Amino acid sequence: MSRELAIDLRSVHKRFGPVHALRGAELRVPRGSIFALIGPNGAGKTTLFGLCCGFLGPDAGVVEVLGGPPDALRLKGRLGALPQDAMLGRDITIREHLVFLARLQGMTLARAQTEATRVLALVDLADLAERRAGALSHGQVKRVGVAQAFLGEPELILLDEPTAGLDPRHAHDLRALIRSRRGNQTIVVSSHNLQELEAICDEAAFMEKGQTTEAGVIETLTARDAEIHVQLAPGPEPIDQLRARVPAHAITWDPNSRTLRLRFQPSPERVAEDVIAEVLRELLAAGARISALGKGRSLEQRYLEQNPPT
Amino acid sequence: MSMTRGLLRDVGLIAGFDLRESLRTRRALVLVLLYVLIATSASGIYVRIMAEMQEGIAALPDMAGDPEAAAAMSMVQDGGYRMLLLFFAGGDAPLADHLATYPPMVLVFAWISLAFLPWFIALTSYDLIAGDLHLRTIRYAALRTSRGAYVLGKLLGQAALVAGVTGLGMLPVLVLGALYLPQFDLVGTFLALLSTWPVTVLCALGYLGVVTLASQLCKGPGAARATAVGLLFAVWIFSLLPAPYTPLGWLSPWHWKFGLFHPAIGERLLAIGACLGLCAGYTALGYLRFRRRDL
Repeated sequence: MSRELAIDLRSVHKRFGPVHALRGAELRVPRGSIFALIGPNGAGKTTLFGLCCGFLGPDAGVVEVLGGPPDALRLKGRLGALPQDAMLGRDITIREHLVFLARLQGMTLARAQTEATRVLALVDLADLAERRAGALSHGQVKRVGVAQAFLGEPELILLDEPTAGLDPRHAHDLRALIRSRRGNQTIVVSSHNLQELEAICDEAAFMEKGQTTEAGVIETLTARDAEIHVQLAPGPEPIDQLRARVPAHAITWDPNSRTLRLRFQPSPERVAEDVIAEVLRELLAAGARISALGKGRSLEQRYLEQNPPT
Repeated sequence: MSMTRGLLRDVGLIAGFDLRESLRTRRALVLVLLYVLIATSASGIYVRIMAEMQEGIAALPDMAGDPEAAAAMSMVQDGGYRMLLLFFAGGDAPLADHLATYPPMVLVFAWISLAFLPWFIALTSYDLIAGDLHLRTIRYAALRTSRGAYVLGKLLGQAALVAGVTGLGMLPVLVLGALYLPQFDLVGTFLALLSTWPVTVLCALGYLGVVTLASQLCKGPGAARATAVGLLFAVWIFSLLPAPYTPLGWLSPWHWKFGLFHPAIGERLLAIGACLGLCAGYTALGYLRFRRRDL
């Protein structure tokens, strides 16, 4: 079944002089999803955001946002974004900024003022509404940037590293805000905090060297249904016994971390919980002591597999 | 129709926001201070010269009792003044005659302010677009409106600022004239200044067009400032070129500035159209680059 897409990028190339920032990038973001964009610095995430917002033009390929080209007038009020490193006028209050931007989205003055108050409350900045942007801290400026992205509840919101520079409480609140929009708005988030992305996103795409290397639902990417891991305390290591008795694609043992990984083909008759039961039975019978147990692997582990430490 | 209305609405919003920002920052203050300083200096010099001349004439012992000598002195003064006006009018006698109807103090102020205005504009408006590109502030607006509306709004905001500043520049002329010239016609001078105001603003639009071109071509404020000054210098040179290069001068606001004072309505309309056209043309030329550039 084909899903309606909020973003559809096909074979997109973008160069900045000698730097080939995007090399045939592909991205399909379903409407209503919370989508993570993951990749190392320089992978092309911000460039990809810039293309979706219409800040940048592609050298080749197709960029479609909400069913058409990223034209500002077509997307007026439908697309919100937190652009990376964009600054606000220092001598204007944050309320004035937000009212101005809301009015540019087509709102009346009264509606824009109400909307500015609402989004400032979302990011816990209502008390600082009359403060000049130049007098705000880095984290507060970031929160104003997030607030303007939510003006008018646009259909699609792109957040480029929204929690970078935020204190833990406001980062937590922002994650809750993003999660609360699931199903109503499409939100694409890039972040280096992979635990955060794993916690709030439904789907993700990995980028590396200007290309999307892998994309899909988080459950699949983290192999949550097709992999388990068990950490053993010092003591018996019945790995060979396990290999002989538990059917699996692969059983690997890392003696340093004392972690056992099993990859298997899930089926309706044998889901992850059944495999966990089998493995635990065998290990306990062999006298092994279990420290930890989990399904799948974290996004961080996936990321590190794709980008191994040099 | 609604698209045009939406565009005009966006232009107005951006102009209003830009003007407010200019007033809050040092940009407006610097422009006002520079302009008022020049206006005050020009008026002060004029007042000093006039006061000394009036004192000198009054000191001539037998002038009052000798009508012929007084008439001869007046002829010499008027003839010299007309020659001066004819020189500034480029030999255009009707224009020189028309300029002679303005109070001399107003002409001195207009001449000096028109001479300095382009460089003031270059120094205060160079980052009109380039500054927002540099700080990426433009990205917040670019999500919500077209690039064309953005440029037009910024241009309109700066034009309103320049109009306000040139209006304020009239004050020192009136104040100094009233304080130091015994035979100063306050109302007449005010009305004459008021009539030169649109001329100054129209001329300023021509210069602003050149600066807007520079600001759209460059991404950094430093480069934009250098380009703005360089382009203005180039179009100023255009206005000085002899035949057969005179047509290049048509591309220069300097070429048209005296036409804005011309008594013949056709000449005046041509100059008005040229200044507006140059503003639009230079802005559009920059927009050809800006509409495709990465923000």
